[in-house]
Amino acid sequence: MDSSMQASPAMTIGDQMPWVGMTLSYLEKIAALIPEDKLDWRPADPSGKWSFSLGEIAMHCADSRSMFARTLSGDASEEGYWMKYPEDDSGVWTRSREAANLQEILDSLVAGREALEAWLARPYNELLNTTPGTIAGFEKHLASLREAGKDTADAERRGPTTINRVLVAAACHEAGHRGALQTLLRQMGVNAGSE
Amino acid sequence: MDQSGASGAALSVGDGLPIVALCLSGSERVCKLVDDSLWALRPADPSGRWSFSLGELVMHIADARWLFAGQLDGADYSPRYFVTNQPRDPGAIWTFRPGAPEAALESLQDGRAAIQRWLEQPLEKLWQPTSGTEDFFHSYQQKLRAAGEEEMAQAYARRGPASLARTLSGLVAHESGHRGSLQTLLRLQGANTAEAD
Repeated sequence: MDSSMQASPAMTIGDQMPWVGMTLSYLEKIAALIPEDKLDWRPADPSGKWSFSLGEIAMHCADSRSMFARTLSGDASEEGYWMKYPEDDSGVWTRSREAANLQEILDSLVAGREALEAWLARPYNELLNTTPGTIAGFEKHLASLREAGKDTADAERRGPTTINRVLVAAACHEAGHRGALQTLLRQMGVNAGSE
Repeated sequence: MDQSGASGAALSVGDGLPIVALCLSGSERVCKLVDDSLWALRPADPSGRWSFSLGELVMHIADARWLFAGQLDGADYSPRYFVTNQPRDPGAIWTFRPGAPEAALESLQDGRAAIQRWLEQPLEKLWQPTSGTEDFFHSYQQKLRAAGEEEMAQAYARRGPASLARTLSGLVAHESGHRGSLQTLLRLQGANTAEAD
């Protein structure tokens, strides 16, 4: 750990990674613009491939916030998730539960954010730390590579995932889906910002 | 718990933030799908607001790589930009010099090469500012103070010059949003973006 990281102990991970908080706030702002009657609207893909509906994009982001937070805390549970990952090659996600309205989805985004905020509020000199959760995930990953007869050298060289790696991945994942949601809303004439 | 879980072999900045390379590669695969037939396509926004065309989205992603690389290097890469006017007013029309898929992809690659130099630095540099971000920090702070934005200048000073990690995170957060938009617009045109996932 370099000396500059030890200079300001009061600084938090969130202070040093402002893009994470900005990205989470941006999605919340865009998701709140989904018209209630368009939650189940699903864009048609001329190639026939399945797409998330507008509501499902927000649901998936809420699930992912929880998933990234649970990766850090070492909780393998999928409890409370809206969507289930496709179990076959169809690419079709299914819903684990239904949302009564947009507010319920927005509330789940807030809950997922709170789980991530617990990590963003930690002292920033913990950024390069691993966690019991990421160590357990790493061991599981190595075991699956070995079981598949694959080389583990590169994974072992990099070691378990650190807090910063998980948080940046969470922000990038969400930014991609927010870009999709924003584009679809704009196509509908919703004032979802401009370039 | 520190990073002692790693093997001890020399790790790079890119190893410390593997999502950066993944994100840049993902964008390049999507950008390559914008061929001549799709380049000028501009989505209609029923509210009347101006949108990037597909080609302009690719050019903007390339420009942003140069912008972030310039901040890290302390260099002015604006001569590489495609954009010629980027109005501050929301909804205003951006203008670009004439571009084409091949030139945009080349700029995308060159911009990546400029970023790659930082990804190859030793991991210890990940949380350090660069001389470029330090220069930017001081000049921006002066600008805020000159504009009478003392409160903002103080908040900015508290955070300090951007580290390599902060700048790279900004790059990929920005690029991921535009890639999501581009990928969606391509899918609506029937392009097979699954291969780009």
